[in-house]
Amino acid sequence: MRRIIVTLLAAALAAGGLGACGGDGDDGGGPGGGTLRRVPSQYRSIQAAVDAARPGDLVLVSPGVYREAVTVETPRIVIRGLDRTRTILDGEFRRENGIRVVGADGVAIENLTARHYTANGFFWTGVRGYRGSYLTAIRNGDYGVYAFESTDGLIERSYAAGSPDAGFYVGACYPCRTVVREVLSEWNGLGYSGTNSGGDLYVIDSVFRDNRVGVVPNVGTYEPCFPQRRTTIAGNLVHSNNNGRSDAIATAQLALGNGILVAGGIGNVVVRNRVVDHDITGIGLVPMPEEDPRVVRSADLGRCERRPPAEVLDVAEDALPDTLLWPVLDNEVRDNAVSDSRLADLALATLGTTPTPDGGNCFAGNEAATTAPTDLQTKAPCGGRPSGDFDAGALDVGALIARDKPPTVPYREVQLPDPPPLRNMPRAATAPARPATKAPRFPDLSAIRVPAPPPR
Amino acid sequence: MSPSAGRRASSGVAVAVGVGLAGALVALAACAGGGGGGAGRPSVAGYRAVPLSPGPRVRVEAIDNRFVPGRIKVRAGTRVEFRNAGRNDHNVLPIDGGGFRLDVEDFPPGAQASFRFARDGVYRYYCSLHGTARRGMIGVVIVVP
Repeated sequence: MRRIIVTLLAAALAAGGLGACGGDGDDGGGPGGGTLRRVPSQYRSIQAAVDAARPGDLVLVSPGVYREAVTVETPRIVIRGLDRTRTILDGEFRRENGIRVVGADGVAIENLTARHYTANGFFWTGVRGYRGSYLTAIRNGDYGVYAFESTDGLIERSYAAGSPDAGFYVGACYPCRTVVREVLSEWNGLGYSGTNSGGDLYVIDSVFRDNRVGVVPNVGTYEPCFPQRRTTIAGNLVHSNNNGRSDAIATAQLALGNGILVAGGIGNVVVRNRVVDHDITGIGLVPMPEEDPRVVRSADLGRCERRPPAEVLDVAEDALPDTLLWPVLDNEVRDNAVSDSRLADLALATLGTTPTPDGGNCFAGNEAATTAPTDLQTKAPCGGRPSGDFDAGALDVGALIARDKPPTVPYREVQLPDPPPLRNMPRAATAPARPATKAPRFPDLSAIRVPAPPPR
Repeated sequence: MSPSAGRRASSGVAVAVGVGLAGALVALAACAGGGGGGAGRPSVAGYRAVPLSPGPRVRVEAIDNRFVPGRIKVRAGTRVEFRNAGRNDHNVLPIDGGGFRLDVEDFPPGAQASFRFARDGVYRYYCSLHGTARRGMIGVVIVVP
């Protein structure tokens, strides 16, 4: 009986919460509020509730295992689980996406787990305004949390493990106006990946550990909005990304053993991260080798795109290079604490792709014992001119690429560790619905500190 | 829709799609009113601003996760070649019917296939992995006489 009373009380509080939502003009719920749609008591499936929902509504999902793939095309709704770890969408290795938001602006997803999907746990595409909070994505076949051609987003307080591509991904947007903060990404191919994304894009205050490679802004003609540019990576703990027992896409396999690797990116800022224990580099700046690039037609260039390298712009199909090297340019690496890297704590390799040996990239104020080339912070200082011999102590990138890499392990078979304790969304039963109708608040970088070392 | 369809696997080897399939495609096109202009379908007139792509063969690339170009206008009889130039799987599914379709297993990264668009009309399509029939990864072939 006590349990019934508690349940009824929770329901009443939830209804009250929605009423409060109606009066909160700042959260986008709008005057009058939305409708509470409960799963499974009112709707047998999450999809049924989503299909019935109108902008401003809250779909509130009780604990249980939901064997479905949800597509959202209604803007400004909120989908929330009552209990993060016990409200589970299960793809059973035969459904593609846990929740997929297609062209519906302002959709927020909160406090849910998505596991065992063949593609992605949570996926937004073509939206302006999105938010994922208190999400858990485990053992999904592409990405854990995936935001594509979407802007004005916030991904926060979420966890992703066991995806062969990235645990967290923000790609094909410029300017993205997006913040990724307080996430934990482990046992993925890449902890974070951002292809062709940037412009008010912040990856901050998060932990990337035990992936094949940690944090990788990267570039290619195979997605819109090239080149990759202007992402800020700050205040993260990035450690032990040498995990050869995970699944991995080709890029992740190739880049095994690097903490933060800017691959062919431009104008990124890497500041006040702690980067520890990597087989290759702690923080590396390298050109991005894109195999089998495509011809890019000037007439097809989109608003978010800059002209790509001449080798692929308006050329004949048979004139394409087998591999296109995207140069790494004008990145700033400052005030990071980098240690225990087997080859180099800091590394820069331009491979002749830039007009100057430093490519406009600079390093300053970093705690680092080893660099490649040697004395990198002296040779490529921020605010100064490059000088010295960039060949002395340079990385042998060819040898690194040719190194034997551990084979991938199919994501269904990876021996994942149990997730750490994961915080539930506070007041999940009663908190007002807050669709993602505004750009997130961008961080004050001056307030971000180097995080503490990982526990031994 | 024309009976002719061709496919090239990622290895670059041209493979003809069977005549039986091609025949079925013709039948499908007939059933779907492949000439375009059926009830609820957009009309060619709505796409005046799309420039005409000349030549007997025009390529559309499926990159991640968009068709490039997303809209093409061609003369009737043009062969449209779809190529997966992305790193992800995609498919090409007609929205309004018509005799062209590429399922995921037929269209991995690097694969390509072509279809001849014989009759004028508007042929919309989408990738169901990265869109729906209304939003997301959508494209259209506008065929004019």
